[in-house]
Amino acid sequence: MNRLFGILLITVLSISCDSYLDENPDDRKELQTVKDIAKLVANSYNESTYLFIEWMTDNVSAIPDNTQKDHMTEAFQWISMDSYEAQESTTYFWENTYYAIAHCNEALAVIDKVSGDDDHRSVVRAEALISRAYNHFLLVNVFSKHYRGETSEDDLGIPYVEVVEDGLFENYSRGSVKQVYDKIERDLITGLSLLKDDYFIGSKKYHFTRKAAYAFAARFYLYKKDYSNSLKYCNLVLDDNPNDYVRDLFKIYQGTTFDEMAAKNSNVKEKSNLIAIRKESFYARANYGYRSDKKIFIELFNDNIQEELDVRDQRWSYRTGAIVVPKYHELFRYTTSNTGFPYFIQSELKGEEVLLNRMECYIMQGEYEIALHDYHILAAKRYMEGGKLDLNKIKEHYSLSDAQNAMKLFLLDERRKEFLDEGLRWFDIKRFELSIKHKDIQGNTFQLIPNDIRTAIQIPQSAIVNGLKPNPR
Amino acid sequence: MQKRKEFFAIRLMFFFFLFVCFGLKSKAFPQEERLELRMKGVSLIEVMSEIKEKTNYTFLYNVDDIKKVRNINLTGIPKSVREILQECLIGSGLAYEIRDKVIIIKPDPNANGADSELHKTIKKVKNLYGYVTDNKGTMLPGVSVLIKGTYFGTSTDINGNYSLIIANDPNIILVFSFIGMKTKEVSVGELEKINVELFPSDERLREVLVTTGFQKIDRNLFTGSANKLNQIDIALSGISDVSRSLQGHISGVQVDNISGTFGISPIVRIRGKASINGSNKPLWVVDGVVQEDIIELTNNDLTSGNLSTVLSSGVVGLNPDDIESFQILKDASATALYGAKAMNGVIVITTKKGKTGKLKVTYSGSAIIRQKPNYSQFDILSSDEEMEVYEELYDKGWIDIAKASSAANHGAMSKMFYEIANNNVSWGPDGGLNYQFLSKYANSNTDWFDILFRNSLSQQHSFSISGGSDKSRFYTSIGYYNDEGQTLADEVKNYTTLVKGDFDVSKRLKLGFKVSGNIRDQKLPGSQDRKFEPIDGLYERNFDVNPYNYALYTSRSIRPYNENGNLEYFRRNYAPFNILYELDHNYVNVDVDDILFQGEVQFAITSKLRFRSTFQGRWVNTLREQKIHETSNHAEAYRADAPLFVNRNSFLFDDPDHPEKEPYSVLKQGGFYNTTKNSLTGYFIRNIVDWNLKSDQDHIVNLLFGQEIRYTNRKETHHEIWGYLYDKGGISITDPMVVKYLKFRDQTDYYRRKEKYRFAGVFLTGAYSFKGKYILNSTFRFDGDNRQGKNSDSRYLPTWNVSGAWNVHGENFMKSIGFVDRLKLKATYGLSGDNGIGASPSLILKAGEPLRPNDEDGEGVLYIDELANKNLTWEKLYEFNLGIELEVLNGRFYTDIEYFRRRSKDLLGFVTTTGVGGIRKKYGNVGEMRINGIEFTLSSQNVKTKNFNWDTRFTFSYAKDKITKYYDEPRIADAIQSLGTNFEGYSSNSLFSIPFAGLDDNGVPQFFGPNGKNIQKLNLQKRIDILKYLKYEGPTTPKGFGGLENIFHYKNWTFSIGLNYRFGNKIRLEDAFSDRYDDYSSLPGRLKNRWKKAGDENRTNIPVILTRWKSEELNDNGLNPYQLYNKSTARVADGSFVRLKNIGIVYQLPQTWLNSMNLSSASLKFQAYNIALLYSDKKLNGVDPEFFQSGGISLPMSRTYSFSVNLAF
Repeated sequence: MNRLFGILLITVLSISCDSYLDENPDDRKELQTVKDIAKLVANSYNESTYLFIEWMTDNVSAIPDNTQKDHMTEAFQWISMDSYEAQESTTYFWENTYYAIAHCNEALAVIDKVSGDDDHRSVVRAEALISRAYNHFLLVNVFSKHYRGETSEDDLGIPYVEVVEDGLFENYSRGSVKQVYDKIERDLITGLSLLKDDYFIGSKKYHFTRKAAYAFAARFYLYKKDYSNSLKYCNLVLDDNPNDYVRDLFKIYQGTTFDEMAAKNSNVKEKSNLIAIRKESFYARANYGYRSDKKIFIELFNDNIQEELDVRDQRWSYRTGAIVVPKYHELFRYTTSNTGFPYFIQSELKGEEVLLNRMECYIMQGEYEIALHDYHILAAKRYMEGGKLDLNKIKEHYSLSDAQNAMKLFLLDERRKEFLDEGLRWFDIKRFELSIKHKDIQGNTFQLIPNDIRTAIQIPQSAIVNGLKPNPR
Repeated sequence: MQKRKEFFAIRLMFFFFLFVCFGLKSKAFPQEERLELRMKGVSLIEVMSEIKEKTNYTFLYNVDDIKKVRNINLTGIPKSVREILQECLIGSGLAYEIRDKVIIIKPDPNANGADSELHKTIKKVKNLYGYVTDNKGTMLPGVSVLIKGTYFGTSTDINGNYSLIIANDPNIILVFSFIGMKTKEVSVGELEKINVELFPSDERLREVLVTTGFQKIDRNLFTGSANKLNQIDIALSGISDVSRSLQGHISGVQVDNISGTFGISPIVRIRGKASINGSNKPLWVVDGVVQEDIIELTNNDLTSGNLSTVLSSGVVGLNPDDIESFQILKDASATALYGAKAMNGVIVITTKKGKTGKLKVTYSGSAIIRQKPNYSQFDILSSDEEMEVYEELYDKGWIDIAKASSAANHGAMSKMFYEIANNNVSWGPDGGLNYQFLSKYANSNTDWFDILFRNSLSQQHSFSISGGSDKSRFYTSIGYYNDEGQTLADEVKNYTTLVKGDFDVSKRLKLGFKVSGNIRDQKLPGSQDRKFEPIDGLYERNFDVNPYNYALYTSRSIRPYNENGNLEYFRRNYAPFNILYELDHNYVNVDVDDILFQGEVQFAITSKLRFRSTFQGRWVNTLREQKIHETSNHAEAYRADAPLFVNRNSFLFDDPDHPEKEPYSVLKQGGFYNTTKNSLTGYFIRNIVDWNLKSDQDHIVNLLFGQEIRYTNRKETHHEIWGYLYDKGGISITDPMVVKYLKFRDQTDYYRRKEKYRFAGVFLTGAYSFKGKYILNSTFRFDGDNRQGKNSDSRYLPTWNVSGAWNVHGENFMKSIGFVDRLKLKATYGLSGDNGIGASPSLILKAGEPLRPNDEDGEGVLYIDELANKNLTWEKLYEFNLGIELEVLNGRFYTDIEYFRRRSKDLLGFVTTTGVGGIRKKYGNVGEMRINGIEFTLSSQNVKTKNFNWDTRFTFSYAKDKITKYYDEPRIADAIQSLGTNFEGYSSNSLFSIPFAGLDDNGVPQFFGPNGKNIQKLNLQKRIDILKYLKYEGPTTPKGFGGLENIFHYKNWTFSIGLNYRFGNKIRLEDAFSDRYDDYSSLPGRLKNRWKKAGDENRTNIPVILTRWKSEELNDNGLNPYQLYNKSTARVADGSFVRLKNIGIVYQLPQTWLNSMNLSSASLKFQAYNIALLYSDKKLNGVDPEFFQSGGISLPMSRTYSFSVNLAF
């Protein structure tokens, strides 16, 4: 009897205890339905900006009156950005991009286990896959060398994360650029086959809509030099009305205040803004860091092939001599009642880029007239008189007889003007293996050679310390 | 779904309890008629006739058989007929048989050699009886009389008599014990009547029993490290939080009084910090049950000064007068039964119990006076000295008419400019400063302490009645504490009650009940929680009206009253401000209702097996209401929108939908009404089986097996009403834009948090003693906690412990050394643990709404707050303890020396990872630490004569810790902050400084750089090789501490004096110097001695007041010399101190007076507390090194005088 009692007691104890301890200790959310997963994926948009790469381009000069923090100078001199780990640092961008990716992975890990509508389920899966691919795409283009067919099998990539981290320390390896590109392509294609816009609310612009995903695919294949695929996705974005996807800058730059113009430029209602992502960043403050100045603007706009007024030549100046165009409307998130963080809404994928990407595809395929046709769609909304050009004029302007080379240079200049302050110039420098020079305040010069190893920006210190292979220097 | 599960668990628990409790009972007692027969020395015939009378039974017997059966004693315990007969017939050679209602008595056929035995008339049982007196011959009621080695026994009745039926075994030993008396053991032998005289024991020096909360253990058989304190010896009258009175009394127990505000728990550490980042808080156990805090706070939170800290003390609801004693359990062996939570030691509080005897009525009352602080303790410029600095600030471009108009805060000089700008005051002669205006303020020399503090009177009363018979005892008390507040803004009323009853239902069954309650009504200055401001890495607190902070940090040239005696307002947060008005119109009420019910059942299943169960329910509700009146500065700041500062006032709303609009107010009228409710519901049950396997002269073997379950729910809800109109009878008009305003600030006006804590444990402990000389003890415990996640590897922690002791004084060779009363060696090795707050093994998702300027795109998202950490486990502590206890000359000298080595593993902390998983800074098991220490206690009765006694108690503790493994690399910014940092190879929370290299020839600080060059710039984010830039100062927690107490008794007088001390820690001085100053904050006195002209750098270390242009230039060049200066070697003080803690005089009224007043005892007591710092580093300039200045609601411990009366009727 006594023994029986003892056995009973132990059984009762061990069974009841374990379920007794299953109680969740707080109000933590559990993923139970597809709608929950959708909310998780909705947060897989990277809140940090990669705009520090603008400080590495030839769009900026050292402005003596600007406040230059150490990390800005590090970027300007193409050395490892170690002295700062917050907004506009490689560390912050790295961490936040992987944070966004973790949301996708958690979603993908449980999406088949939750209840809900299956159609919605496949759309959420698609958004998560595309978002994961896009975030890795940004990482690999910032922290690795540019994709280049054969050598990409050896160039260091970045860890392509497909599972949720569940230990304190996990080991990751960087793989090659090619491996990363292959995985991006896989996720992107699967995602595109399932994606629908139906479940997104409001303007839908804070998510990867089909248009935004096509724009990403167009850029992806362009960077991969797969022009026919890129062209395919460009066309899917632009439909038959490419004109709709070019903002009318004359209208946007009508107004009185910088903030008002900038707000219009990044407005989600603007059709050419294909995606809107909130960026926590001080970047909009042009009195900090290495920025465009009068000299750069003269270089960009004064020696002008069109010889007519370019509406993008908006020289808003800080008292320091930095010149900035109204692109980012800075807002403020308070964390305490007096302090907090500035942020702005950035459109990372835009109709204009798709149009210029298509133009690039045509140029690469030797279709210069069609390329120029695309160009004129843009030019009509940029130049006072419409900016009409023909191939000969371009060849003449660049003193080149080779049409393709002339068109390439022409395209690069146009891209530089259109995407000023958006970071894309850095990717163009990598893609076209340009050589640029920087001169610091003291007059020392620094040169980036074509296909420089420093175009693969050094990964953060904390990643190296914890075992990831640094980029060669 | 979740809900149902919970209910199921409770039900299961309940059934289990029922089963354990009553299932056993029914087995032992078949349902039968019960009789209470109380007979003495009667014959069996008399017993039978009694039974016949009370029941329907008839008897059949042979008269010859039964006439020999005589001298039967029955005690009156309810028994069945069978039991009574059994008892009567034992040893008589007779047996009984019950057929229907007829009882047949016949010779026992099984009795061996029945005949011969029978005729020898040897009884197998006998009745023992007698009385117990003290050494003066007074009868003692309620003395416990136990048969040694069993759970059976009785206690003396109200007249001191006892009787007990025992087996007729001459080897039986009776144990007589009584509180305050030496326990006496008497061998029964052939005796039947045993009268016993007990002698008073001197419990002041050593305790007889160790109370672990689970069991009471004979001191001789205890192998752990524990100390006992009687409340009567350490009571600090007028200090309502009993935890404070532990300071300095026990080696190894460190109490830091970080704040004097009622309800804020002091930081208590036993044997230092076992953990690096964990709570390090000991478990508080009241009457055997762990007392949960209403709000769980880490030590770091405790120093925050946030409003929630007034709910942090778990024991403030206990009336000090209800406490009998404290038992502090220090090592792994002593705390073993608390298992995985006991890493930081255990403090066991035992409340008073009723005693058998006549009714005892006591009253104690105290009046407490707390003295105001004054400026002589601080190094602060007087108002005329301030004015001189202001002139320099004016010359250097910091204050001028333009800045004054748009400034957030005004002092005297800004006020002048503002008045000039409004044409209320004219410029001085030559268009310069208006000295006539300024002189009013230069001469004001406001004594803010005098204005905001008062020499407050508080009172404490408690009244108790206790008493009992031999079967039941009770204790009841009520307590009242009223503090009118040491500042204009605080006030407390605290009510406590305690009712306890103990009932000996039968020889086997004992029951106990306890109900206690606490109601608190407290008023505090308005306070906002501090927030971490990540850009500068500082904590920020808005609208701080803490009177102490205000007095210390407000310019003395600001006046509370103008020359007409009316309140004078100065601008603060862009709105008019007067501290006296603000304290009246912005305050917090705190209400606490705390009720607790506890029950205890003890049931002796057999003489060797006992079952005990303790169960408790506790319900606490608290309410914090902050009332911010519409005319208060706090509310006005939300609508200060004059054009000159409309773009600067960050309390206004800069609507992202309308970039063209100026910021506007969302609080056009009204103030705020903010409420926070916290509740705690806790249930607890513990069942224990004690098994006394063997107990004879040579061997004692005990086993204890048990199980416990804890269920705690905590809830916090917060609600803010914007636009509350106090003057209009409490209606509220909330602006619709408030919602959007809050959204864009990542704030809400409502939140609700729930915390569910489930805990279960089983334990087994065994003790073996050989001849009372060699003792071996071992405990195993297995605990589970829902907060450690759902993975069973991390959820459960088995803990264990092995310990042994050798009572050397019991050895024969010690017999010749007569003066040694006790010499005991003990050793322990074991594992204990702690479940750190805030660590979670599972993925934590939270809901949020991202900021999007256009409303149509607003949507809820889920974000990852913490990634999963499947390997997360409890913090663990492996401890080795060696101790020696020596007591000589009849207890006149007692010393206890303990040495311990502790190895902490799996300590929790933050670590920086690759970030590839999504979160770079993660919380997990990242560290290991080693602590070695020694503790020393010496008690002595230096003089012991009839009229004069002098006792001394000295304690000393020293421990050194070292982090042996730590995965994280701190930044320079972490290492120089006042709490220090954790660095492998150093003590936890070590403080580092930037080496100061004097001032440069412009009076700007410079520092030694790594390459021998002086620097004025340092990147505080640096992680690698930071020791190249920094100097190690020392730990921020003391290495050594202790106390010294002397008590003198002369006739009816007792005089006591207590000191406490600590040493070996460093303190980072406050950030006093800056590259910019203003005219509304007080200025450090040392500024008088600042660098003024070239060459001063050879004379002084106080940096120059920069011109505004120079300061901007430094900034532009990225130089931060002033920031570095405040964190440099020049700004560190030693944390050692010696404090005269208390002086007390007690006068015991003589017996002759008492008799005439019908009193049994009466005493008067005068006590002064927190009297003076006898030694502290001069660099602190009188600031209390113990007090942690954090604003909010924290106040320093003040000097306190109390007068109290204790009466017993």
